[in-house]
Amino acid sequence: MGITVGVDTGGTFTDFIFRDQMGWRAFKVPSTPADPAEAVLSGLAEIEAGGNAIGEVVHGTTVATNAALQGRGARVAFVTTQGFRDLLNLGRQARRELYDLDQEGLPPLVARKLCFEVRERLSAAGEVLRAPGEQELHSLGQALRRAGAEAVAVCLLFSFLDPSHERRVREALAGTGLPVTISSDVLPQHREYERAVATVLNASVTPLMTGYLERLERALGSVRLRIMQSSGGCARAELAARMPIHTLLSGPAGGVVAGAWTARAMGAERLVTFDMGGTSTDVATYEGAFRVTQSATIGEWPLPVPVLDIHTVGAGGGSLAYRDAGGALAVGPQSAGADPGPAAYGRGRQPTVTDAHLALGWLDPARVAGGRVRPSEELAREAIARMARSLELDELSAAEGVARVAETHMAGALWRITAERGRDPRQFALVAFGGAGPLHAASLAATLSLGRVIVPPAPGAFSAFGMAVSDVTRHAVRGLARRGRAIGRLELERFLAELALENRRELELDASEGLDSAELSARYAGQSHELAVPYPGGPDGLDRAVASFHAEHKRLFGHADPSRPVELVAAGLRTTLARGVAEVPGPPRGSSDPSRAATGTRRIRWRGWVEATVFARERLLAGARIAGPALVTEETSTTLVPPGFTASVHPSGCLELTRT
Amino acid sequence: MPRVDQNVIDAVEISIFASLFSALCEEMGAALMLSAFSPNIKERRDFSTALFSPEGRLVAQAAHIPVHLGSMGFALRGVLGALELGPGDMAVLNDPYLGGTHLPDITVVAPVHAGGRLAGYVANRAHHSDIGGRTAGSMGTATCLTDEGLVIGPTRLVKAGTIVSPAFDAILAAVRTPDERAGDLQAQIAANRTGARRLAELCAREGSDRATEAMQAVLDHGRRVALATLGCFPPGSYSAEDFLDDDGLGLTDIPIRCRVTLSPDRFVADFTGTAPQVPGNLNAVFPVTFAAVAYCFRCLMPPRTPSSAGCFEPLEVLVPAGCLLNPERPAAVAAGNVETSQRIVDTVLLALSRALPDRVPAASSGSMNNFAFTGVDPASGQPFSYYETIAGGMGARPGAAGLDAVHTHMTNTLNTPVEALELAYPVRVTRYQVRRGSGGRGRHTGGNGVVREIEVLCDAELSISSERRRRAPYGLAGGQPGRPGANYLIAHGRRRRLPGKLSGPWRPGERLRLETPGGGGFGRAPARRTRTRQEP
Repeated sequence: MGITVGVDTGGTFTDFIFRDQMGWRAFKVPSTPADPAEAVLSGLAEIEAGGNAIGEVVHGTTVATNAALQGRGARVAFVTTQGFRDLLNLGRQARRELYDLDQEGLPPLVARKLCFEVRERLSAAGEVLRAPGEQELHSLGQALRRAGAEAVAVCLLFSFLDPSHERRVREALAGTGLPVTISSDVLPQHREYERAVATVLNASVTPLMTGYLERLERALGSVRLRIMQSSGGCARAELAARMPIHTLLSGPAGGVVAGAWTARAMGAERLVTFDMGGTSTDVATYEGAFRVTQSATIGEWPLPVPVLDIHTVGAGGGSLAYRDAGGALAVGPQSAGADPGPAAYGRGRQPTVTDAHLALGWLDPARVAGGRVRPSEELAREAIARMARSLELDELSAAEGVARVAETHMAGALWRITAERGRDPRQFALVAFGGAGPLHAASLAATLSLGRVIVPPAPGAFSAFGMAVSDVTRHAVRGLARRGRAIGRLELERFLAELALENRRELELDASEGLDSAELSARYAGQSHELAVPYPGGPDGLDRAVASFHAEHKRLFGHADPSRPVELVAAGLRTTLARGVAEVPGPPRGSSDPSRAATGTRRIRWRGWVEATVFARERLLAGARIAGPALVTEETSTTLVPPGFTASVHPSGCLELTRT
Repeated sequence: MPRVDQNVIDAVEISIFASLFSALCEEMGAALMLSAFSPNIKERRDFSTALFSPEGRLVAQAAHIPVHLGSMGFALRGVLGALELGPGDMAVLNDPYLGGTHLPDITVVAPVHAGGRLAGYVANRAHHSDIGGRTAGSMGTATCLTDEGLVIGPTRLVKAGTIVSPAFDAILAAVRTPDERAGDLQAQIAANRTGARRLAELCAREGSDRATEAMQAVLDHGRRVALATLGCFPPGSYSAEDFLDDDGLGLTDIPIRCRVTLSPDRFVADFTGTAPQVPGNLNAVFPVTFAAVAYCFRCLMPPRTPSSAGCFEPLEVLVPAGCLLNPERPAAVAAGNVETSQRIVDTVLLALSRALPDRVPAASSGSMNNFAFTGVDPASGQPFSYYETIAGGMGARPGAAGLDAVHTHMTNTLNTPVEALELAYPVRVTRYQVRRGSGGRGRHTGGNGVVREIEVLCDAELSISSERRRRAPYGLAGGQPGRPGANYLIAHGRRRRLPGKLSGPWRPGERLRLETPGGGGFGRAPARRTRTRQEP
């Protein structure tokens, strides 16, 4: 049994993290977008060349994500109930922007000539109003082939109440040889548009994903390949190949899983992860269990399958700063991206958040991105100065302003996922990672009165770490809404038992393996947004779930009405098999004096110029205490310890920032 | 963010405070949407939230519905003119003649006190799917405001933090679905509490004086954006007219006339010459007219401009009293908000197209295609009440085709999913599709409307309020008009055309078919019949 390697494919770099006798080690290989497997395999080869036998790879892939975002998937035919051929086109009938006369619509997910109807219909109570005819299904197969379909997505109305019509369509199309995805397999829940989009996305990325994973598995031979899923766990590659819809947000999910590991290592009960990247910042909470949502989006499309609840704002290192029409300083959401990139790299002239970091002295140009490409502080300052003149500000106030406005957006995101969801931010620890997250962590924590600030080791490859330590997980859901009849306890238990079987079958687990946790999506009759509450099972399980619902409603919205009937809309079952990842060894214990790791000093701006000591993170020993102002630099990130803060090195290797 | 220690509000702080104020409104909106009961508020997001300065000026707004844009200030003034609000108080209002829009839109206003003095106001407005009255959804044909439902003048709903039961119960007593209304009103109160708490915290952190200064700075910023926008317009006067089909009571071809005068610091919309108020419910109270003009102006500003009263300071909207667009009590007004508001936009944009021919699109569908029904559900024995609006075609733009099947201009509510609708109500949707060929031809084609067919499964009352059934959405620069909409009832294999506005019984098995208008085309179509748009 060899070592486990976490591999996270990103836009610029593919991150690797693994553990050998020396502890955890992370490195980056330039991504190979034309064939992402090349970078993956070359990084793995490097690890083997170092004398490590690889037993298992947990991989976060963007193959399906990019294909979905760029519409590069297979040519999908869409089959639906008669009368609803335009279902995908109609969407939710809202325009994207309220006040933009020039706005564009969404590109059609499926061309109209590839949309087909079947004469069938179920009622909202699940009765068959009309069954599909054999002859019609036969000619449907011919029509699909004539239209040049490469894959088929079937979404019939109310199929979550009775999947038999969708299954008949699939059987009838078996002769065409086309891969068929049916909506009752993808997401057996009501709301036909969202379900249809998920079904089409799955069908369209399946061929690419299958090809990619087969190729990786061939190259890996006996090495076990697991794929990270958006729901915060990994699963065997064959499952990801068949249901790639569950991998679309796997990268950010890796970050949240790594945050959960940090929570355990640091004894933090509640934490909020803060991942500041180049174009955006992702935030999520963890309170002993993962928070799952079904209201996520992928690009402009709804993604209704269960994924970790991650909130994204368009403020990252590459976000552009500019003077708006009323003379105020605005930051984002437009980003300079990789090209032209921040002004400091010489191709763009408009300042970005990264340029502000450089102008404030927060980044050492010699150590940014491991010193591969050296940004110019002078170009950064010039770009900031140009903008400052138009704002009637001096250069430094403008640079500080860019950082503060960006922080306002990030603080807003952190607020949204804590206070707006009935949580008290003061009870949360902030886990900051991503290239620029640790620069803003202390300041944000002060603004929001967050309890603690934690900067994990290798913050720039943290998602890959999350993949390496993730559990094997499947999160299945099933709609319970049915007209004219409420669901009873025994029926619910039967559904959950079916979901438990299904999860074990898909994960190839024995009946005795894995832990289940059930939840119910509930609402007051007449409401149309659901809240998820745990379902503890047992004879009074339903009563307890309903009691939790009232309590959660009260907590979130300030009122509850125990006399009002509660509707159960869906049941979810999460099956988890812990992979038994060993304790992570931190740095050796040393004295509290950090001076052995000091590499020099640097003038930085923090409400005036201050002299900050610079430390090399890899040389810090556990127990070291660093008094701000200081910068802690490492290969993929820089941590800013402002004046009045102290950073201590925890035995796990995490830095903890506290107010002195 | 590092603490602010200067005394002036500079370019950085304007941006920070504008974000904080708008986040406050968004948070109120989240609280309202999540805790409301009716699909109309939760799924369709037919509500808005706002923050006002201590002087009652709009500082920030989270509006999902443009018809609420800049019009909640009228409600605040209506409340403050009638009631003295103390700490912990809230007032409710829907009277269109005292700052409301139409009766289903209920506004709840709360003062916010911090450090012993007034720090501002928070308010939210939500469309209730039933406010009593004679017809389903409280949107049907009527000739008098009191026939349209319960009229709530400025009333204290919460006193020092406690709900005033008689006021609350009086509202519930007048409606068909009191449970749902109670839930929605509770949600509105909760939303204001959230907003008030946040503003008080902000004042405690930054100081009340500074918070007030920041509000002023945000208002000044809005005014500068507005002036920068006006500076790019060619000065002059530009006139246009358009027509409403009918008021549902026999009066047809009702003119709206507008003369827009642009100068570097003013945007004047003068509606002199518009029809006098009408017997039916198409009358649009002044706040609605103002919102429609504000919307047109807002569309010409840079994207992501925060909406504050400052943005609308250069606006002047002139409407004679007793006019269709500034009626006098007791004229009925339900459709003024949802139908006439769209035609005001069509008229103002048509006038503006003469000043800005390269920016202004052809007419969009011009109707919200309002459709409501009520009854008693045979499955549960419970009364139900449902309201929805149906999208249409967007007008073609100078540089692009119009979009198909979207809500345009003064609304942007989501549809109710077919499965959600059928799970909750005794109806069956038999067809929902894009209405091909309904967009006007042109160099750029207008967007297509929608076909929606619904069959009812029990006895119900039906109400429709729709426009552009006779007079088509105009094309521009030689583009063809969009196809007018049409309403049909299909029963016993026969299809019968229905008028644009009606209220009446809807019997089991009867199928209603609504075909919504397409948008107008832009530019002369090429001589040869070539498609300007790809078939999606």
